[in-house]
Amino acid sequence: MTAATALPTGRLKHSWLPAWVTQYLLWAGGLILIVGPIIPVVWASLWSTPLYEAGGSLTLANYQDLLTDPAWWEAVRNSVVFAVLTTIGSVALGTAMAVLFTRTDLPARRFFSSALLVPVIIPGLPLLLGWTAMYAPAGYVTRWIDEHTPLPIFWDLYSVPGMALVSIGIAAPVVYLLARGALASQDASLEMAARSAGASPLRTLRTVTIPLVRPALLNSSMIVFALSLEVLGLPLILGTSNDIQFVSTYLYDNWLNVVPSQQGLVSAGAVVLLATVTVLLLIRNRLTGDVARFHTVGGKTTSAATVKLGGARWPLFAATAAYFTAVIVIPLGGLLLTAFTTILTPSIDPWTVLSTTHFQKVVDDPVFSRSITNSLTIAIVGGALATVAIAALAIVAHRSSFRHRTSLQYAMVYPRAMPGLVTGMAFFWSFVILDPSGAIRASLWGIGIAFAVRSLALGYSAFYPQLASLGEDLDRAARTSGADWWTAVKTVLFKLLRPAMGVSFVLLFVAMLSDYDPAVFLVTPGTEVMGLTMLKLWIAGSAGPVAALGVIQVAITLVVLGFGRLLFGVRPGA
Amino acid sequence: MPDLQISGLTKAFDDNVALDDVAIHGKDGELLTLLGPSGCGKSTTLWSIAGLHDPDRGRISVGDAVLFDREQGIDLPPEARECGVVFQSYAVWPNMTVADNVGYPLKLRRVKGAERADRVREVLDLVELGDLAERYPHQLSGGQQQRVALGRALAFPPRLLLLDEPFSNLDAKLRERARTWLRDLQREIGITTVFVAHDQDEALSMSDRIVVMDHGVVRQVGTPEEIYDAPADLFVADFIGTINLLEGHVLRPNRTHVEVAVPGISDPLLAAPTQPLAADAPVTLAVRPETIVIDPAPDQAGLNRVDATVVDRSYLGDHVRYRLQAGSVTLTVQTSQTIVGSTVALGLPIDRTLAYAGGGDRG
Ligand SMILES: Nc1ncnc2c1ncn2[C@@H]1O[C@H](COP(=O)(O)OP(=O)(O)OP(=O)(O)O)[C@@H](O)[C@H]1O
Ligand SMILES: [Mg+2]
Repeated sequence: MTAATALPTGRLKHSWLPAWVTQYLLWAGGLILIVGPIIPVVWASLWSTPLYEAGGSLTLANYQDLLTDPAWWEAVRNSVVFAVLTTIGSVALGTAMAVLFTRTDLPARRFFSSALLVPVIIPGLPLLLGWTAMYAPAGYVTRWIDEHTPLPIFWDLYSVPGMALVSIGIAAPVVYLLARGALASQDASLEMAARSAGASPLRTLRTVTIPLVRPALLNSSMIVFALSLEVLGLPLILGTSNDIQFVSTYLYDNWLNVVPSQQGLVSAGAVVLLATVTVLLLIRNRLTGDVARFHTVGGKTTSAATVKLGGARWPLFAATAAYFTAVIVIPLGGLLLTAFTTILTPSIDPWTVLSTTHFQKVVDDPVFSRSITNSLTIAIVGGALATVAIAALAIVAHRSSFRHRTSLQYAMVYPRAMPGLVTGMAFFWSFVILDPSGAIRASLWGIGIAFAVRSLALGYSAFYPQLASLGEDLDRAARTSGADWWTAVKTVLFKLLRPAMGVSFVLLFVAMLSDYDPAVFLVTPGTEVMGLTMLKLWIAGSAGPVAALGVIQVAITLVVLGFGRLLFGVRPGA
Repeated sequence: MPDLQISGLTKAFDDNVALDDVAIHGKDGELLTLLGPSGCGKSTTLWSIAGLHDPDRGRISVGDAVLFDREQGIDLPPEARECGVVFQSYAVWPNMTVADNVGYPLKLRRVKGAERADRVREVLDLVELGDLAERYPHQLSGGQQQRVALGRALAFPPRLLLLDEPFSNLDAKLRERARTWLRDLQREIGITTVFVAHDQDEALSMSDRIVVMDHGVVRQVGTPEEIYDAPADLFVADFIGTINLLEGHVLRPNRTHVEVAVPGISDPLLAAPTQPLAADAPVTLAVRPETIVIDPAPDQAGLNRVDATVVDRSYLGDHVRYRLQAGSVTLTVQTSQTIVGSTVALGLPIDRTLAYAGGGDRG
């Protein structure tokens, strides 16, 4: 040794729990929260009395009642028609946008390509309120066209196709995001090869480009279809006046509005819905799992070639601009106008009736103001706790030698397959069984936990790629330096993953701020959240204050996303 | 420093056997290199020692300490094995300064305050990074990062130093320097070291001994000279350096030399058998290009003489490599002489023409 000083000596520090205990605890906790609540719903659906009542026995009567109820089948039919229309429309539109914005010389395509993402970024409910305020039969735009122009009103938002129209406007950007990703990763030299073989640009698009993004289209079709089957707010707001029931509203009404409440029946319906969506997503995994076939092979990718639109350039620009105005600008305007005017009708100039009374009402009314503070509390505390949970679970799932880690990898994405209504009901029954006193439900923890579990998959999908991009040698180096598993996680992984956790927190915050489906079954006086308050009071006819609440929700979302972008580079659609 | 004993080490990934009954004895203070084609199990061996892989069978011990013994149910976690590991990717933590990276193993062992600072400074001086203690990894060159990784591995004196292709991310010039530097450092602190070599030049120039592996099996363990001059089998002969392989069959086995008929060469060749060979057995002869003598003096003994014509010639600065045709056999010859004319007489030294049982299929 050259060392003049004595060599250091010291005893290794140990975490107070052995790694396997920590891993088992995290794993069990994760599974109990994610998968566990399904058990009580299934149980409730197979039990003759509500679980909070004594007695009762095993029965299939709930399923029998459900499957012999003509109203259920009517609701299924409406939901399926709606989902099919939404899927076809949004895939066609989303793909067209992706091609237009990534492959052509459309003027202002950069602007459109981010501006059209607005429906992905801002909460769905306020936008929906804006749509309704403008395009519903008594809406501002509808009436204005009716009164001032000879144009026919070809839409009726209070019908299934009309609802699909709204839904397409909201779902198309999701398809667009996925298709854009697929197009961006595709090698443009394949297209050039087709071009140099003599194919016209359009033919190239049709025969080369589109087939290559087919897996992405299939994938997004399945996602949109599954999401459309469970959507609640839209049929509740637009379907009620014509008494059009969807699966979700059927469950909602039979739980909340029918006396006595049909809780067994609804549980059975929830189980059927969950099973359907799960099967759909399993099929999706099957189908899109086989993507290698479509992977473009070989060579260096060249930057995307631009298709010259020629004479179609300006007409297409006009069409895009009109679409953008109709689907985003006008509804957002509708939301703002509803919030900031005392009355919104074409016969009165809105500028003369500007006021902030609706906001005043939001501040004064305890239900409104409580919804805001509740939603913020849930989004901040729940978002933070969920972020830490996601990080810890993802690390057990991907960075440990824990025996059951793969089960956790599947469990973390499963909440994506759980309709929000089912999540809510699952936690309702879980709390009934585990906490008969109702203390959890009376606090914000009830709704908070349900929201957190529901957004787990979202946070995980933002977090995981960052975790995967951190070389495993980094934690191995900590281990060989003398750190046990948990110490390595704490001192190295968690530190390095701080930005990823920031991104995941921002996304969870935004998602939990606007979530409402699970709250339907969980809400108690005092635990109102913004989304559900908007929904309930809009139906009750109080448009102005609801729109004001919507504006507040959108504003908070944009501010938080803005900070997120500044601090962590959060991007929409992660 | 203690020595490293590995025996019966076996590891399969599903049905892919990565290590098959590997036995290695690393002597105290020695630099032992693992060498072999990609996927032969070098990293798996190293990681099994470090505790990052979980072998199916076998035993690993360092001195008196048993790190792993499947039969006795001993399997120390990586943190308890006290192996300093340098990863191919360096794995220097980007969020910590150089000093914090190096101080980390000490912090985990509750070495505090001035003692820790002193040790960190000492180690940084050792790896010649004394001036860069407060820098972050992204402010360092590849070579410096690699020295941070080494410093971290040595900070709390490990039982063993394990390095997995530490130089493969450096450019050629730097790599050469780093080799000598590491070799000197290793000698200086006298730590038993297992090193996964990136290429054979690295292995030959640095190692006390080399372990040649193939498909999870140890083919030969020996000093660089032994491995190069007396490869244990055709695989090793072919894998290390360049070698001429001539297939034929035994005409007359002899205790010291066998006489081998090589199709395409008129006269039989004499060769040194590496194992007992029977008459008529198929054999492969192996001759290093630089051992072949050009235009040998008529009275020079111990040579197989062969006439050849020059096919082509590549000039490599300090030597020339010729491709020559002898009968229907192509030979590579390396020499500093210049061959004049197109035909030449060659002498293949009998002692250095090694005969291995079997055909060209080097299993
Ligand atoms: N985590 C793993 N899972 C499955 N197979 C593995 C894993 N790690 C290694 N293998 C397989 O074990 C064999 C030995 O791999 P190893 O990494 O030890 O090779 P190597 O000699 O280090 O090769 P290289 O020179 O390319 O680094 C290979 O066939 C490899 O595919
Ligand atoms: Mg390797």
